[in-house]
Amino acid sequence: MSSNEALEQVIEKNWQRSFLNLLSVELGGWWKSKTWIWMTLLWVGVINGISALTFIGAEDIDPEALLFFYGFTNGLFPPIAVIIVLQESIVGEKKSGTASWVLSKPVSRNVFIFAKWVGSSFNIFITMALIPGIVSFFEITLITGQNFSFLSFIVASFLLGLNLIFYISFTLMLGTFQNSAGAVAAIPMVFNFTQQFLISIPFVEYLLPTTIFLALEGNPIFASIILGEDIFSILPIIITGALIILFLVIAFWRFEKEEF
Amino acid sequence: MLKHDPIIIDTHDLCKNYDGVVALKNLNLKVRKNSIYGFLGPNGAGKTTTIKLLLGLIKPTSGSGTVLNYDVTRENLQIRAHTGYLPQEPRFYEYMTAREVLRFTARFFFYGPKVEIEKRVSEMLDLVGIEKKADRPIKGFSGGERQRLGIAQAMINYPELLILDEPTASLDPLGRHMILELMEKLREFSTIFYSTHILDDVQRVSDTVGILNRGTLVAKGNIEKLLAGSEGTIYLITLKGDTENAYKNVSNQSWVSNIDVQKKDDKIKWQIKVTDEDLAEEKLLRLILENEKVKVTDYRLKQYELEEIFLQVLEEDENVIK
Repeated sequence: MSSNEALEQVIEKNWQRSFLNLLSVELGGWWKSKTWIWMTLLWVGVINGISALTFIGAEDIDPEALLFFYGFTNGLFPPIAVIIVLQESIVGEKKSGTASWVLSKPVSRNVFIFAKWVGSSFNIFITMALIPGIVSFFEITLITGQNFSFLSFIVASFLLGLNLIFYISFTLMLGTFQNSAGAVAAIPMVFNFTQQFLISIPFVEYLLPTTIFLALEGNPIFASIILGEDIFSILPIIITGALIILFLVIAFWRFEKEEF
Repeated sequence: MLKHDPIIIDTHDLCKNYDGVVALKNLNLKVRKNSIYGFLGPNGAGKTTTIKLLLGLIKPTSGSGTVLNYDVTRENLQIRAHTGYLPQEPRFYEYMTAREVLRFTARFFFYGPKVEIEKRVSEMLDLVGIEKKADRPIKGFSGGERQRLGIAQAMINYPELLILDEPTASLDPLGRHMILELMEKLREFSTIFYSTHILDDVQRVSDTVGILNRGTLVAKGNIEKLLAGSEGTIYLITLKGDTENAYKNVSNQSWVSNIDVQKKDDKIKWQIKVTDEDLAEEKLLRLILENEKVKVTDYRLKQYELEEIFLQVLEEDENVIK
């Protein structure tokens, strides 16, 4: 047997120990397989395809109406995919025993959750927000014949991503509480649909992530950014960010109590 | 830096309850450095619970413990950094190949260099005999192959302490033989704490044994002493011929406390219980052979089989509970 002397030993004792190792698994599972190709094609197809089928060939297209449609499809459908993709992320590993195996190595539970969150957020942001967002820039420019700022589409894609990361955090957090994938998926799924109705309650619209895409009066936040207008409120973005942090903290707390 | 102490595992009244049901009760365990500690017990005795407590995968209800001088509750990440662990049913990411699993495991302990990590991975694959399947996804592996991979990943960091939960359970006789040989070799570098229900394995490789029943450690100690039994030293002798004078000679010795005689055909079997092992070792055979009419066809010390001890201990414990 050779010795350990030839190897450079990991010495970190706290949360960053093994983070990159676990992150590489999250990223590798997505980018080394064909998952990312299928997901990109699917979401470019859903987000851009539906808009294209609806508006190409139409006359006097109102950019605000197109962006409203684009925002609606983005706000409603991709979160469903996120919930389906992530419902087993924690529960599946708890059930299969891989979580127990990984946690028997020198890694903290917070790092296990955090690596999943960072990896999933990156994977989903690129394939379900950024790439469809870039395609949308060319598509909307072509359909409307107007010159939009490319940068504004990138900023809008980050807002789309923020909404998806909200659902990633929500689903991961529920995975630390439940042992059934169905239960994990049900709550965020119901929330996703219910938001469309809650938005009509005065002031509540400022507290909902969906307000980034949907507004009962005027343009929603993401459309204002693309159109170069002032946004009606920054509060939904702040609230969404705060809820993401809250879900993560709860997930850390709950997973620490889990016994493997 | 690792704190050194000849006691590698040390627990004090360690308890674990699940919803009010006692899984482990006041466990006081001491495992010495470089020993091979066989942890025995029937199904549901609390062996896996103990292992998980030692690794910090579950938290004790009460009591305390240290592994490699690190506290099992507060410093369990450090424990896992110096320990290799094989779970009872090893589970890995199914899409990974065996090589990828070992690479992934190695990165928990080593940054690099890459070439050295690859060398270590190949060495482990070779050691457990799965090098030919190294680049196939695990989903096609048999139970025995998974077990071999589990052992390889547990040893990838040359741990100071190796904790194995039923290491030979799903292996064929060849695999079992390989693992037991490996454990004997590793004694030089590591301390091995393993649970099993295969008593032959324990008798073959362990130097210390603990028997757990219903969450309580009912017996522990050096395996040789345990196998010698609690009745003292007993010689088993098979004789032929006229044994009358030899019997008188032996029974007159002050260090002989009892002779049990059994006759079968032309063979006579003596079971001699002695009070002084040294005198018996020096004189007993000579005393018998002084008489030329006696032939000795078998002469040995009585050794219990571990199975006898195991069943006896469990039976006594059950009687106490009743």
